Amino acid sequence: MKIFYLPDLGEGLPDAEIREWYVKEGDDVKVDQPIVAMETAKAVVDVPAPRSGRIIKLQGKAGDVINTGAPLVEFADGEDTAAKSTVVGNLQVGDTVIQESATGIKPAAAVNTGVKAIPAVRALAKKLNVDLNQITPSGLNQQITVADVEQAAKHVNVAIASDEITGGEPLRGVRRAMAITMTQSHSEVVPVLLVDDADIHAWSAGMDVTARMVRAVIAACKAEPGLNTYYYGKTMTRQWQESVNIGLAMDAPEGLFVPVIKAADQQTPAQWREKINIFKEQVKTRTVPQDDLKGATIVLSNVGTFAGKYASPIIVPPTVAIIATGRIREAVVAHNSKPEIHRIIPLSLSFDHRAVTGGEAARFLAALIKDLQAAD
Amino acid sequence: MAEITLIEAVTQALAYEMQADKDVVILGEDIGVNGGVFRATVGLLEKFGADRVLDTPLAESMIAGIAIGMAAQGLKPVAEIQFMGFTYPALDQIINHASRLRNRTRGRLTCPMVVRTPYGAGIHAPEHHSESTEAIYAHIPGLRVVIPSSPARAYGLLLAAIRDPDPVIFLEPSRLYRLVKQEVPDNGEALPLDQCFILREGSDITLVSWGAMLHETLQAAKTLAVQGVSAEVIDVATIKPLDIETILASVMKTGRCVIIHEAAKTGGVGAEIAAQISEKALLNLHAPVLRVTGYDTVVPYLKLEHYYLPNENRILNAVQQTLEFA
Repeated sequence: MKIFYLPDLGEGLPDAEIREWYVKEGDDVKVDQPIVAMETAKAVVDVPAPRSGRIIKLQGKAGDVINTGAPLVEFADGEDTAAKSTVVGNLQVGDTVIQESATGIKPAAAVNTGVKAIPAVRALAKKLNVDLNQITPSGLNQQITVADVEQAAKHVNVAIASDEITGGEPLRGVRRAMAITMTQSHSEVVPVLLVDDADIHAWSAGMDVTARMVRAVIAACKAEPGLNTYYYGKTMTRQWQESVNIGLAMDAPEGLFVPVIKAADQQTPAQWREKINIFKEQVKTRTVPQDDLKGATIVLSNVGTFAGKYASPIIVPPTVAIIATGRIREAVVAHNSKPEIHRIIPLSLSFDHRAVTGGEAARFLAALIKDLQAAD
Repeated sequence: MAEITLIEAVTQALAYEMQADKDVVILGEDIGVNGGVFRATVGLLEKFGADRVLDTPLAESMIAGIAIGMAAQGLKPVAEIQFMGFTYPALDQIINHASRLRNRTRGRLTCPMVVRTPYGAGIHAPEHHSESTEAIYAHIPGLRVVIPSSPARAYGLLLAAIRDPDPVIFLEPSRLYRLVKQEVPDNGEALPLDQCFILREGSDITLVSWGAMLHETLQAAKTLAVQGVSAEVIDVATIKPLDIETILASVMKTGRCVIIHEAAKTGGVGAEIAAQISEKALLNLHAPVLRVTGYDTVVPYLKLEHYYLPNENRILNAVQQTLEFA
């Protein structure tokens, strides 16, 4: 603001008379500082400075009548906004210079890219984890239909029920989760099974088999860390794991539970045993905390409680290995060129051949057997 | 060449065309001696005389009626209405006569008139001074509705509007009048009517807007770029007739669209654009077309004004929703 115009000092007063100037030309004033006393028809009013700055001109002397809206004082600097202002409102004034072209950017020709699908179909595909790019459209104008997505989903998600089946009961809860996990594993993982036996003749009586298995797995992971990794097929990424989190497959009437001993390699056998006992109890009462069901980096399964020597255990991505122990049995073994009867633990190792080589798996299994066969 | 504001570009265009074409006359309240409520016509009375720069009484219906009569008889009147809220008394003349003169006379007479009026909120004005009711005019067959968003487009589009043989409602975003400056050569070159302008190229989402809201829209596009989202920004410029082809081409590319306008939501021009996108590009849409608009209420006074006007955050939220849909 360069020129300060006399504002309306009352309700629609046409003018006011200068009673006394508090400032003179050349004075520096501060905003809100009274600069002049004006006498109106109603009262004497002090008019404050609208801004700080140096006043270079007073428009009139004591006794002069100034019309409302006429110049009152002039500042040394600033722009004469009144010439640009409006009777109403307050226009924001900016100095930004824009560089854009008047005509904008030339529009590109319309090209129809990507798949054709209505948003509802796209949303369904997202929900069912279906990649629209992999679908051959069956709809009008090459568009992907709801049916196309549902058909594709059958291959990736068992949750889609078939229309033809009548009766039966849908899977629920843990059993349903098992079905989904197994289907996912089957469609993704390339498993190889390697079996061998561990001779535990050297063990003293009353050895804690599960604790020994945990110990052996940790030893094997140290010898061959490649099996204690995560593998992400989509991005073909292998992720090394800092600790050994052992998932323990536990059978229950409702289905399969796999609670996890986190960082088992940093705990004592007594701590493992305590954790295992807690898990057993929690599985029975279905009270395993959600957190304890997540984060396994390698899985241990005992299939031999009832029957079974060897198995082909299923790897759950992103883990790359699972070890199953069969029923411990007595077997005739050749020992120092003579037949002897020893106790044997049958071992089955499944590994994901996308991420693990046969050599790595064999070295892992050898280390596991070596640790297991030690006396203590 | 000087950098000028949007309001100065309007003055420049009026002066150019009055110089170039003696049939161009301007009329309105306080446009002559006073130079116009926003100073759009400053200096024109002195330059072109009282025969061509007419101060009128406070009677908008009469201003529109006189302009129609002039236009029907071969002049090219440019009428100024001080604020969009004051155009309503002129609606009878504009809808019942200006818009249908060509149709009524089977093409014998046209109505080459322009109604210029400031529109939009954000200038701390009282009631009736913040209207953004462009949809009323866009709904009327026979009217062209043009809204510039920069000094250069104000200049080029106003020239085109004056030269157009049919009535044009020319809405000037008052919030932008002095907000930015731009180099605008005074060369008399008009910009094309009935055409969108792409202000920023992008591949992830299309942001469609017009008038003052493009300021916030471009701001949002900049923020999105930092977040890794590439937004295409389209200035509709002529909202009737609508250049849907440019918008469709963009949406087919991006699959997502958010429309931003300060007018109330219900029955706004955004609804028309969204409807046409769903009619013609449904199969390319990844998400519903969202609108970020003013609310279905009278534009509030200055203290609440910024709650009413869409801001960058509201635009970013809508973009986020659209991106997360599927």
